[in-house]
Amino acid sequence: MPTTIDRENAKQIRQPMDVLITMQVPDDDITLSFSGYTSTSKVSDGRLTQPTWPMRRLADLQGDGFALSGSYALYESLTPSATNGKLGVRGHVGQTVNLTVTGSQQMAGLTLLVTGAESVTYNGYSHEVTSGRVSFLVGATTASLTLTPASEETRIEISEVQTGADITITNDNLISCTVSLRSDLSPFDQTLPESELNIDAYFDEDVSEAVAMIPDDTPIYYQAGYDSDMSPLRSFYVAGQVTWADNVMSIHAVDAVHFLDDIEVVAPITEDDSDYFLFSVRYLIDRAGFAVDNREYTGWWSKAQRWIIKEGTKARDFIAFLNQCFNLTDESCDLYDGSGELKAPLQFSYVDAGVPTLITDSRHKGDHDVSEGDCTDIKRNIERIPGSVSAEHVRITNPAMSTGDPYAQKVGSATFIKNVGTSLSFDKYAFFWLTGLYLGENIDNDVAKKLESKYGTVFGLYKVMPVVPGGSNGYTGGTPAYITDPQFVGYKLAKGEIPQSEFGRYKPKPDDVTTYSSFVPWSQSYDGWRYDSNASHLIRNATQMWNILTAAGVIASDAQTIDLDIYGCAFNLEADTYTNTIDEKGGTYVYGELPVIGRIAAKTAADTDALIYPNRMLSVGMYRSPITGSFTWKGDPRMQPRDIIHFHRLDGTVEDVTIETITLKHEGGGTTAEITYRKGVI
Amino acid sequence: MAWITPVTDRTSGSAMMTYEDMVRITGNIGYLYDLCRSEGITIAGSRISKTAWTRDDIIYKSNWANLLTCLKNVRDAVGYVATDPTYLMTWDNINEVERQTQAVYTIIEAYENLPRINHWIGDPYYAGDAINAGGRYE
Repeated sequence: MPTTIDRENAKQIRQPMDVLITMQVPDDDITLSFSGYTSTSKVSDGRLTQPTWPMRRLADLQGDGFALSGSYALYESLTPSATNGKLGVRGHVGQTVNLTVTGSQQMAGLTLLVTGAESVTYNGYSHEVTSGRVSFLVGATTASLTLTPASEETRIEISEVQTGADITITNDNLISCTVSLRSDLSPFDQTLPESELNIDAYFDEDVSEAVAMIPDDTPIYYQAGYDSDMSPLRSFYVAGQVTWADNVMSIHAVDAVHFLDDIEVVAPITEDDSDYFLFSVRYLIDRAGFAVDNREYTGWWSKAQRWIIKEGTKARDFIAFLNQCFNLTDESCDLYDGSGELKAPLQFSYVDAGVPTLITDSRHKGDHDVSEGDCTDIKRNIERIPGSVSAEHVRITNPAMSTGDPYAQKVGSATFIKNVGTSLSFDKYAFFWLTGLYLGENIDNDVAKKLESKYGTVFGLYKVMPVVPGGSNGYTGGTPAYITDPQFVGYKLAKGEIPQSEFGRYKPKPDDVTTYSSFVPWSQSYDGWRYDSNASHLIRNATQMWNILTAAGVIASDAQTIDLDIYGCAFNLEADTYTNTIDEKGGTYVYGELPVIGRIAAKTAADTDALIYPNRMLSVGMYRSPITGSFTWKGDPRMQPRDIIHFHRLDGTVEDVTIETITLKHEGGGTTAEITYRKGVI
Repeated sequence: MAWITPVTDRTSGSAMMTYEDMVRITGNIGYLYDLCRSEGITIAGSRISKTAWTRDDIIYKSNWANLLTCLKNVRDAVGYVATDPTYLMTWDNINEVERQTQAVYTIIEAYENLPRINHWIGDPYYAGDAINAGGRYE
């Protein structure tokens, strides 16, 4: 059924759109209290101003029920706290919830964080809930709210209520507003571009003092459309000084992508039966302040396998890479598990001004029809199609488990001399091991403790611990495993001492040996032991592995000179080049370094493993259309990147294209949109 | 409520617990209680308190405690020894709850099908009377 915007869009000359921009500066001086919710709630504790207390995950039978993953608990009476979590206010399934908010002072506006609600009605006006948030003006000390459920099967759950001073901009004072929503539909090396909002607004009153107090990252919300048919509420964050000159306020705001810039992914090397992958995704998303639907993690735990994120990878690049993975669900990209049914369960949605939110719904939020005859500045570009894709160093699947060929290589050597410092630095190696180290040399305190891990301890999971020679953890002749404590293996053996084991020593009785020169190791396992040049110590070659990038040390206590060969296992040791060629067209596209290499396994609700091979997936770019284009149209504020446009050409054909960027301009009472696209449904 | 075949083939935490599952699980336990009573099997305690579940319900710990108690009662009534399921909402725990209801049901069903001779004190029957498994003699 056509909406108001649809009907207006069908006209040659449409009514000017309403633009509503609100900016709420939180006011911590106002204390909120809540009442009136008990009779309409199923369970509640009324804790709505504790943003850091998690909402308790209850064994709730609403909708399709809850996952039997062990993360949902039976309801019992618990004192709300940061540890126990809170209930907030949770209504009955399919029923409205009433809530009265009272402020210690007049509240300029309210913001509710709520799930399961379609709208909030205050003072006779309905405000749509978008992305779990709704904001509206109040201007009173008490506000009685009625929340309407989103469906008959879901429960309204209010988790947070905030108040603050609102600055509102409407058509009455708007001079211009430009909203640029961006995605990157490039076939290769996608980025995560930033969306932005630029506003000029006129105010009769001097609000310069208020402007001066607006900090960076203050949320600002944008909507446009017609009464009762507004676009989704899009969230931005103030970036830089809000300026004030001649009663005109100028605001520049960006979306939440920039929060990812400060996050660096520590290089994890994970193994089977780990949930680091999803944990990391959630960690990154949470750190960026994005909303995450908990349902997306159902059943996924313990299914990440053997993947690596390069040290120093920016979270933004990481998300962009994941986006590239998860957004490719056509069969050619091999997101299937071989059964032919499975698609990646994790996808990004772009409902929040281009900021990705993890969902499992269709990635396309909207379909639109646009006639070429209504457009101007129509351009069409054709890129060169690569006939093959080449990517180096992407086929390492498990370097931590591979100590020998083809992953290892000698990366250097060092000589440690008494009282002479030695320092070595290398890059891009996952871990090292040293040979030429003698167990009889007491360098553990001198060298080992100065070997610093650059990988840090984020999650405490990623260190590749030293591996001692022999035994179950041994390097020689077997696959090294990890040990939990990086103890050095060396012991200085004094005269009269015999190695009892690789890690112990035994002081022999007088009858055991007579002279050092006649000493014969009593166990074949000690064949490698021998005397040092002074015949004062038993020594043996040893191999020690470290997760280091820098080796530094001084031999302090021994005159022994130690020559070390340093071997490394790098992410890019395998000089493999992955090439996929489909035909002779174009040439070869060569990838740069990838933020993620290895194999990623996810899991669907159908309980089937989905394996994503980045190296194979890279070829998907070849199947993406090389045709791009742009046009200027009257604009629809509901449009957003990755929506589909059915472009009705003048010759009667219809071309499906995917929006890559859209820049909406509200100016002089009119609205226009500059749209760039890539051909096809991406 | 009639007996509904339990579901015991959940294999991962992605399995969902719906209100229909709770209707089946609690209904089956109630059914077993009724069956014990009708078969004259001595059973302790009362019938399970809540068997009507809807999407509006949240499972309370007290609900689950009652469920586990009633499950134990029907187990004990037929002499079926098993470990008590836990309070964890995990797929294997729910499998175990339903597996135990199935096991008790199987025992009672076998008991029901045992050939029995019902006759009353004072009923005359004689050598040569044909007695069938239904307990009547003809």
